[in-house]
Amino acid sequence: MVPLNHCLWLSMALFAIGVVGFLTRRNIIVVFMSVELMFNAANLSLVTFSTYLNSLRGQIFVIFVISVAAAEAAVGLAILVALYRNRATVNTDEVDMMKW
Amino acid sequence: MEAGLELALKPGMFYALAILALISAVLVISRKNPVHSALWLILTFVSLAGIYLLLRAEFVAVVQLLIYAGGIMILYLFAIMFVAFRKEDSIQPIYHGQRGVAVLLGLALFALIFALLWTLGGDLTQAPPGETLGVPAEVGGKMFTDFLLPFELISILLLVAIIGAVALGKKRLLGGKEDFTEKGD
Repeated sequence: MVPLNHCLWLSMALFAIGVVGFLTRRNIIVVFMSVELMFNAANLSLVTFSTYLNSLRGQIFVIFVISVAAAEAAVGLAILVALYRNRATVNTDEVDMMKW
Repeated sequence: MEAGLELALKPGMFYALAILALISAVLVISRKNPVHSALWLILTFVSLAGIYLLLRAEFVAVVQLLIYAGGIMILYLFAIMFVAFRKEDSIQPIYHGQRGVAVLLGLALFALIFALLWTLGGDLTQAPPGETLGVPAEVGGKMFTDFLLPFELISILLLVAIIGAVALGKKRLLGGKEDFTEKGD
């Protein structure tokens, strides 16, 4: 049987990869994708604990997380398209109009 | 106990899917072309769906494939098609040594949670899952009884997101009065 810890290590590794992508990439779309990676890492943790505790709550929570991620992707990408229309760029360092 | 053993028969499959997920996740954050990143991200989602199946979360696995690998990634690919960008900009660091610091921070985060799990220890390998834990009937039954209110609230959230996305995607913001959307053209 696969130990619980191995599932959690995979989840941690995916989350760390997402963090690294978030911190290094310049393209906002890829930054969003890194956020999706982190969402999935959290989902994997929830499903793992749900399975090992033999309780459905974690899986229900994952479905809600996926719904919120879908809403986030829709609104985030709409903001991105509006931003591109205004500034003609998708680079994070060039979007600084809210920077003091 | 039988159901727990079913996962035990396929540890090889679990590790293969885990390695596939990790490799494709690394490729997501390292490819220059965002379209390639999106395609590798789909592979990550598919391998995670396989892991969900092994963990007896059948409904979540199907939702992962339909919503994530299907719906959300199509949205991402459309967004990539809508905007133009220079590929070499996408990977180039903004600050000097940014990549090294980011990798160090990622490793530090990994080490931190690893140490936390290590100190917790315990017998985390216990309690094999039930026979029909994550089948749609069980999940649906739970969702429409104990989690009915969050389920209804999520529909409002999605409606708000749809309206927000449409409002943001329109050509003119603020009813065309303050016409800063046209400035970039």
